[in-house]
Amino acid sequence: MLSLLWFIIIPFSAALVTLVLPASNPKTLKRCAFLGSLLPLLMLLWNNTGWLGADFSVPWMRALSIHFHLHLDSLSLVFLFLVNVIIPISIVSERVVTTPRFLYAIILALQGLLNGFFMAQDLVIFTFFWEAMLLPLYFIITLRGGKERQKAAYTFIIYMIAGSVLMVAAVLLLYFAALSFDIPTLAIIAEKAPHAMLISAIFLLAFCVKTPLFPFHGWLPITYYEASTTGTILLSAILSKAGIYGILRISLGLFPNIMREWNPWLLDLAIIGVLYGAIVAWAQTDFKKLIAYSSFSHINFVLAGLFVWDSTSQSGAIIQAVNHAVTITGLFLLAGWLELRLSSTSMDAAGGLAKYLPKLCWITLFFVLSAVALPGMNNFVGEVLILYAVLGQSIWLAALLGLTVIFSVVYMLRFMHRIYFETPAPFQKNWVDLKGKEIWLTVPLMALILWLGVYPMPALKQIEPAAKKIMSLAKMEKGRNK
Amino acid sequence: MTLYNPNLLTYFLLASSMDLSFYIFVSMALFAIGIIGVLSKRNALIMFLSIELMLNSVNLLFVAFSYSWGNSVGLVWVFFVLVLAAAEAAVGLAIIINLFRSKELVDVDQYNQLKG
Amino acid sequence: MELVLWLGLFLPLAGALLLFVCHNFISRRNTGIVGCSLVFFSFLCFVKLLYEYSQGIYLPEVTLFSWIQIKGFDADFSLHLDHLSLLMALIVTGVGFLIHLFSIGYMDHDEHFVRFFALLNFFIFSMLLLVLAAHLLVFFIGWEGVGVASYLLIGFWYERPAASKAAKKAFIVNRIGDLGLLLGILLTFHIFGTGNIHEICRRAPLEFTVGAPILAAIALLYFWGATGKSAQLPLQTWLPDAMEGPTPVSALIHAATMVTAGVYLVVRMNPIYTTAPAVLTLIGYVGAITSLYAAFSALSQKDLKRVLAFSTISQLGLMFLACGVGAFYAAMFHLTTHAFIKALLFLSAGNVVHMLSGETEMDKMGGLFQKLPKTAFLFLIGALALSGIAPLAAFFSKDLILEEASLTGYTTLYSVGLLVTVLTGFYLIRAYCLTFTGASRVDAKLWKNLHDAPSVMMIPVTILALLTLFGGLLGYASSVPPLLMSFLDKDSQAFFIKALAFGFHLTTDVWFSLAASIAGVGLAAFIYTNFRERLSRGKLAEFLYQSFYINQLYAFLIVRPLQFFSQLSSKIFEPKIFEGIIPVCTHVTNSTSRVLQELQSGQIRSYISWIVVGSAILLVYLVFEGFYA
Repeated sequence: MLSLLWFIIIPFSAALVTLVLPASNPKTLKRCAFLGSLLPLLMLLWNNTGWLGADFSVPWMRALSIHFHLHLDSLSLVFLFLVNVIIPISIVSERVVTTPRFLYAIILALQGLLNGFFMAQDLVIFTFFWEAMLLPLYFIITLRGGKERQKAAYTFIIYMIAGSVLMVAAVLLLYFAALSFDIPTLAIIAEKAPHAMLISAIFLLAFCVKTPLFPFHGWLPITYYEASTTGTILLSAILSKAGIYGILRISLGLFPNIMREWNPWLLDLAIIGVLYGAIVAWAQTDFKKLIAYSSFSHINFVLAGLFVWDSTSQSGAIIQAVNHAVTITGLFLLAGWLELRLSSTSMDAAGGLAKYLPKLCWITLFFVLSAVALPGMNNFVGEVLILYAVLGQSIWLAALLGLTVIFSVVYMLRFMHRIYFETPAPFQKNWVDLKGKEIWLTVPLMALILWLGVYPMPALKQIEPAAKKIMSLAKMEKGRNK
Repeated sequence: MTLYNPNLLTYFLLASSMDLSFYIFVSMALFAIGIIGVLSKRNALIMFLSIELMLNSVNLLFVAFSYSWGNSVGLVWVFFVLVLAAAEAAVGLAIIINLFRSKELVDVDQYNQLKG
Repeated sequence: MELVLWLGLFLPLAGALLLFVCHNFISRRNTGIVGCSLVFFSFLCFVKLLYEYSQGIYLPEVTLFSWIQIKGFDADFSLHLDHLSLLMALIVTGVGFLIHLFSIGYMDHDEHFVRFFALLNFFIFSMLLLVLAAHLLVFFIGWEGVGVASYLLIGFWYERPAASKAAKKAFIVNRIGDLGLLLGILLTFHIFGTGNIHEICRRAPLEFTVGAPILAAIALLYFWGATGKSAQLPLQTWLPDAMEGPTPVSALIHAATMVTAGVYLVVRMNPIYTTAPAVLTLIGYVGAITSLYAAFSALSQKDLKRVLAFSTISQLGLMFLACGVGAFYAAMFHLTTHAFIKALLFLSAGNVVHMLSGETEMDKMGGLFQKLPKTAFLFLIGALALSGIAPLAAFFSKDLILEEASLTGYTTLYSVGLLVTVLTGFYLIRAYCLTFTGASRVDAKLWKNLHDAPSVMMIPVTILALLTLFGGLLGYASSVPPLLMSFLDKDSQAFFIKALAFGFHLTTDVWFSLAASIAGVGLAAFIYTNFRERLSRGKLAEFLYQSFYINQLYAFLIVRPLQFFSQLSSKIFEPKIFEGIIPVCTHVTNSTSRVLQELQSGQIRSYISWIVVGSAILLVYLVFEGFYA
């Protein structure tokens, strides 16, 4: 009875249950939602790599040969693990007293949609889940967050839809060329379709807006800033990975040779994005925006890895995507707790808080060190792989990309020192240090960071075949074999 | 006046039979008058009259063509149009009366609340 | 025997973790016991390994697990113990243990006692990982690990803004160097296909011709990393500020061990450097210039620890000078003696600072010889030793460096070294005189209760003093090959190119260097005991005090433009361009819609006229185009 459909059904049914559960105690609702979101993770862990190759295909609209086709390969497995780890954490991070049940339900719905997205093998289903993901996020942003969250939600939705507005057209163009929506089938003939470049560009634009790649990040600061902690975690840790998965599955899967041609420009954009994000992060006076720009900078680093034609680089990018998600979840969680105590996200609100909030301080430092890619922590593994591959392209590009090593420390330490170190501000009553429950929430993240940093081989063993497969799809050109 | 430069009146007077084109001209003239009436009159009732005029001009056209073709296809259409015109007049006048009840005016320019 | 190696490496880490977990409920006494004993056991492990090695039993490369293994990239967590790393490990754990002992006394009033020892243990672990690594990436883990430990320890008293800022600066400048090292390591992977240090060192001279540019690039990148870690020009600005940390930290990290990691790197990778002689010469000159710069800057410092910090930079410059002329053995010898002597100097200074309740400015010291005689005596031993007075330790090592420099024909470097010797003697004795001799400027209340430090702090210092007195014999003996040389000689790599024959040979070089030391010492002693009150602060003194205004130069040339660009990006590019594109789109849509709204006027007649116009156009079109379609 273990079928891929459960990954979609379980979160949705949990959402329904949460909506109709006649419980007056909000804690029960939270527990119910948490359990519902934990079940897919348990399913994944139960069978682990046994899930590889699982398939689920049901014809949906025969006349148009659309099938509801789900398939789990190693690439999907990695991202599926990621989603099903982060979403329970985001549910638990919601503050019980003020959360309406609708919010829990919508997060669970998002989980279902994401699970479907990462398994979709039919372009129509893929597009459906891609667009549908935005709806729960819109509600998540508008329900809880900063003062301008309505505007932020509008900006977010419209920018995203503007990016993927032509995606349906591109899908249809492919269909007319191949008379099938099935991704594996399309992989063979996609590049021979008429207007292949246009289709590839449309898809790439949609993915780059979501991730976001450097020039398309206009929506990022306001949306990350105005959303609540949960919303920001879901946006930064998961939504960007959806974009990366899209690039891997569609852009590199269906149009490898076109992407190979475009790689140099995209790599330049990504490197500019890394440095630009770091420079702007340095100037921020608000720590939530600083972490948002940091997330932007690091995700562009991942993209830089994607845009190098080398399987080492692709593996590095995929594992760095996972690492980034884990680290940024931790950082935003801690920023949220800090905001709770300071009632503001400005870095000038108080200083020297390490004296009163030592646990918060040192755990934040741990995640900061992870974000700056300290060897022994997760981000170092991906970073070193990506830098290695970019070095193979050009030493100057690698040097530029490597500047993130310096800049990330500059702005992260600025944040740490402004808030936690230097002269302590006078004590205020609500400056209570982290309680046990909050610490336990960060423990799985810290464990993941250390595990992926010190012993990444299990993850890499899954990722490497996926990366190799993508490389092998491209035709080898005469004499060039990288 | 020579025979090689007939003006319209002469043409009509010298015509031996009623040519189809006369009916088309008249019909077009009536139609144009109707359109100008609809466009330039502000009174709703006058606009209605003009619309009826347009409909009737089309009726004339149908009859003429029916005679010209020699079958009764056009005449059937005439009946349709007549019925429709009557129904529309009934409904339209009812609407106008209701409008008048709300604003005491039949000036269509004043009924512009549906602007957007 | 493998187990001994793993124990030696991981015991300090275990100590750090234990102290971290128990920090809320462990007593100070137990913390001290745990912290010191674990480092001591680690030291014993290495002593045992030393014993085995002297018997000729060697360890092969040991691997714990496979770290990153994908196509094209191959990193194992593996350790390799050869004589060089064994020497470094012994220094690290030995001196580390003594400093741990010292810290029990020094930090006893501090409320974060446990955190200090946890961090010190973590540092020892990282440094050991660095010296024992068999793979470049493992080396890099240790390299960055000591950087983090240094950051956390310099900023240990995080509530002090100066300490926080210094810690941040240290971490950032270190990172600038680390970037170079990382790029060098990755380039090495590309060129050699492996990261195994032994492999690389074996293959470098075989596969590349002398002067190959790619190897020079790798060597240069490694040296850039070494510059950052060992505080050479241009990345030396962090070390003087790092003195804001507690004195044991300054002694351990910024004198004896972490800063020597750069020298260790160059010596370890010496086959690459000998295959890239241009870079090696560059290293020599950079070391010489740095040495001179630091020596001059130290002449005018007012803070006791800063004098010692600049002295460290200067001595490290000498070590790099030695590497530059190919005298790797001399560099390692000087590294060893310097470790003892600097630790001695810093710990005696720490005694003074501790007894004066944290005062480090020499303006507020003076005449302490009367109250702290033992400390003064030990400090004097250290100062004389580092100045190069025979037969104290550094005479032999420094003299060796200078001799090698003149032997290999680098006369400029030799003269620079000689000048540095004079200056070293001068500023060290100046520091001694200002602190311990003359009239006292100490606060009267402190003066009354001043006494020598407790024995837990005096014993380590005494041990170091003994090492200083007799340590020279390790590396230089009159008739037989000295211990250190024969020890390091056993490395399979061609470890030193120009080995100086052992034995007493009082060449002119030796006399010159001895004379230089004595001159410096004597001059300072003369000036500072007699004319101390009449020294004024002139422009030159200010220039040297600000260490040639390099900090300000960097702030102007690098930090300010970056800040400007950062502000520009965040205030203009972000809101106006990238975020601004969204309001622009909204605006365009709105105005278009407002224009189109005019059509919906609510006027029936306008609607009708549009219908008429539209149908007329359509009709015309159909008439003229449709029929002939």
